[in-house]
Amino acid sequence: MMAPNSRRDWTIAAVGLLLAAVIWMLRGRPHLEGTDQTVAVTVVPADRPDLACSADGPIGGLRCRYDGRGDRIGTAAPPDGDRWLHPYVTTGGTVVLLSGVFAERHVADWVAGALAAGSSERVTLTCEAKIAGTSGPVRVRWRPDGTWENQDGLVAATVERCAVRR
Amino acid sequence: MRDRLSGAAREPSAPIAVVALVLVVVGCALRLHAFRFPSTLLFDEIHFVENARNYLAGRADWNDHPPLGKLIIAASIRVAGDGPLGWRLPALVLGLLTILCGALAAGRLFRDPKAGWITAALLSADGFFIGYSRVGLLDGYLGTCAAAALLVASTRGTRWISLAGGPLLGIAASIKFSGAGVLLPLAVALLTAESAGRAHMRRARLLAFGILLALAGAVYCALFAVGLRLAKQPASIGAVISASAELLKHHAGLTEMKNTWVSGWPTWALPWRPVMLGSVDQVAGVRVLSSLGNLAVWWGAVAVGLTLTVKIAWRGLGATLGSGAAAPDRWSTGDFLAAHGRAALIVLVLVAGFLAPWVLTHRDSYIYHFLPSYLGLVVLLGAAAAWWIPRQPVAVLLFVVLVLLLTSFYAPVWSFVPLSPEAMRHRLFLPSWR
Repeated sequence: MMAPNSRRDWTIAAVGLLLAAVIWMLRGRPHLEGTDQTVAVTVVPADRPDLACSADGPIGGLRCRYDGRGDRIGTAAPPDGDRWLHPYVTTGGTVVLLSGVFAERHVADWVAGALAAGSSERVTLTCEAKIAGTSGPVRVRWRPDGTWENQDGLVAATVERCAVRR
Repeated sequence: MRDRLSGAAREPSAPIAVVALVLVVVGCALRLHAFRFPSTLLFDEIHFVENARNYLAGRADWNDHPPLGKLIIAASIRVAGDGPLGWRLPALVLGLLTILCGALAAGRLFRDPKAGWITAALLSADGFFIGYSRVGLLDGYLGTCAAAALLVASTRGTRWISLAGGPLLGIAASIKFSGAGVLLPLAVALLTAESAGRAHMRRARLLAFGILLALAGAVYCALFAVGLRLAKQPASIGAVISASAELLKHHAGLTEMKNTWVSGWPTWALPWRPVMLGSVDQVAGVRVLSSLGNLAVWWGAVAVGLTLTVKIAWRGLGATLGSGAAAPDRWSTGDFLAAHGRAALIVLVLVAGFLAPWVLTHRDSYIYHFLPSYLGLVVLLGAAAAWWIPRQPVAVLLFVVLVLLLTSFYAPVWSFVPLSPEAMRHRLFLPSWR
């Protein structure tokens, strides 16, 4: 038979543990997956073939062009066009993984015009993107002959519409 | 077996022990969560990682601290690679060692295992120690040295204090000059060792103190010389003295207090300006690593430290060191000191030793300079809580539950857990905390 004081103390401890679990669960996670977010990234026309990531397995259903060992995945393009993930840097300096940026109509028009004019002007793309998930360990590189940089916890998203700002 | 378990569950300390165990487990998990994140250098890591790389490449060290901290990172890079794991692994290992040494020291100094496991819980669940277990910076290493100094001071024989304390002092001062703060608790432990008063014991104690200083000097010179040799520079004793003097002169000139993260030592009790060790903005979220401590532990530790200091000043050293039996049902500060005066004094001089450089000079100061002193205050808080268990068990239980609740609330900003920006601001609600 447990003494009343002992029962009271165990109740306090149990309530404390329960409250701690509730506080943790209500911590205020960023609501990301499946939400639409505005992402502003900067690019130059030459970025299109240069930016690449490497990861084991898909991130929120999307894939990097290279597997975790840095080997190119397959040879064919994804069936729905440019839907590989590529790394970009936001105007706030955050690295994100986006798919479909250079396939987006306004961006494609800008790239075509810039390449025809021989321009290497850097622009800001303000894109509406649907968040697919957050990566685990992933590597990114900014040039085909560049070294892979380790990253972790990058947001992966599919671009739906972009505005080009010079 | 069942009877024993049932008996243990009825012990007033049993629920406290369970909460303390949860705090230790959660604290370790927060040290390990996303440990390699981010893959870029954090805060001042550039100073230490770059110079670790310099040592590995045989180049000169341009940092303004003695070599050992960077040599430790260099060894880790050699073993675990030049990446986040290699940069931060020593901090993690030494951070866990801090918990172990702090707990053992508290248990031994205050002759109560409960003081040990409560101290372990408080050290585990504090953001200051968690943060410095996750970054390639040197202040967590000094925290380990402080805990180890208390452990050495808890040994009974003067011989062990000098033979273990000497190298420890040399190691601590080879990480940062302020590591010399470990000398005070070691000296007090030596001078107040049992059998005081007899002339030959006095001589033995002086001899032991001399051996301690000689060993410390030898270890310091040897470690500094290793660094110089790796950097392909002259590595004689004269070169070590000359290089050390230059570093000291450089530090003496750093008095502008202009860095965005500086904070004067009187503000550390609040704390007004905990360093944001890392902040990574993400789309619709943020991941941060703050060095803000667990406020229940922080304010509790500062209050216990101040109270004991005032009480010792009031009673005088003689009364504090004199052994006295405390009434079992009393829980006043005076009774605590009557039972544990010498132990409290050893810990308090550790606190003072690490505070002294910032109190006595105008050298630029940052809250991380407080970390080894804070360790001492947390040991005192753990010992005081253990002392109160038989007298006020519910109060101690409510206190550890409060520590747990704050740990749960602040855990995301102690370990780069993704949060919404609003949730981060709710936790770091003072602008000076962000």
